[in-house]
Amino acid sequence: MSDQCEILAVIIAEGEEKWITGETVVFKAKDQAQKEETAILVGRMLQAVVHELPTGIYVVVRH
Amino acid sequence: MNYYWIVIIIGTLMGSLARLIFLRVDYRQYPSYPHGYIIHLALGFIAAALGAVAVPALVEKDFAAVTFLALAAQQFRDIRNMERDTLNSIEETELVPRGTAYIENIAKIFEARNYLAMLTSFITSVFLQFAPLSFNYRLTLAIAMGLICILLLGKIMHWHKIGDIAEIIPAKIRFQGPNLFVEDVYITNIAIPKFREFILKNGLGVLLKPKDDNARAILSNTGQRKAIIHDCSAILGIRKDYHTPEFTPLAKRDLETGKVGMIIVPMEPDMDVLITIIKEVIVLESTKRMPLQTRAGRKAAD
Repeated sequence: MSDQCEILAVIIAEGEEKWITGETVVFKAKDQAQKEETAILVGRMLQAVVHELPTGIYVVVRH
Repeated sequence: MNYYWIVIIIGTLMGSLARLIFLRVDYRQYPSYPHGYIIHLALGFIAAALGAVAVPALVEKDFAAVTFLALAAQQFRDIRNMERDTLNSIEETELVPRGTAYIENIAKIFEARNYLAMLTSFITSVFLQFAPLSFNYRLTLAIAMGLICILLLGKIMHWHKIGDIAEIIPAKIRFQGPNLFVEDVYITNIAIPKFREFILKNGLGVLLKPKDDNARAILSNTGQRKAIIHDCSAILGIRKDYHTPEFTPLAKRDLETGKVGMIIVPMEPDMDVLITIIKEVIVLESTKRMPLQTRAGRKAAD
């Protein structure tokens, strides 16, 4: 239903750096639990939705 | 009192009554109550007065006065613009926006209803002026014709509802990894496990199965789906704030069949009420498609 989407940030845990390319803002967390907490906070701050890719990384998207 | 005044007053009253009745029917779509109510009643009164005045003007062969009807048409277009502007200006403050198709539909209805008020007052005035009866019978007949006019216009202006074009059935919400489905219709991707649990616990899912190809085309329109979502959210309430867009109600299509899966996380999780609300949502004029009216469409549907 959304007309325009924008990737605002990416959130990864340690070991997932290999999946990141380009110039998106990246937040690094030490483990999965911290990644989830960071994703919730970033998503709420930016009023955006956190999606998960098959690689496990989180993408914060504003719809 | 000059007889023309009686014609104008009775005609105006009947036209205003028509506007009041149609306004009451439309309450759910109303952006501002009671102030919006007053605005539309006042404009309806003016429309009714113009319709009523037209008859004495024609009798007196004052054809210039009839040109005021053209001014009225312009005024009604302004009403449409006013309604559109009002709704567009509050759209950003809505947690679940109506969408442009719904807004345009509401604005169009408000314009059309002033014409209905004018037509009712005109017909009442015609009978009060020309019916070859004594005054009491003439008055009774004119009022009766005005009421019949309101009833007939109400029937003619009847709109189809989603319940007429689609079957609405409860559906199971499930996650496959982060992907949210309503039965087998993909809805969205939710990364955070905590949010997934919240949706599974509090969400309601329904399937909208179109009854024919015309219905399938209507439900494919995103404006129509936004209207459905808006009405459900407005009536049931939603567990969402501006910083939690994960809980935005969504309606997505199944590309194989054209059926629509919808999810909402309501304040009042009552499935029966949700289905009733969806059934009552109007089919927007701008979203109506009738592929089955064409030869190619019928052939494709075989």
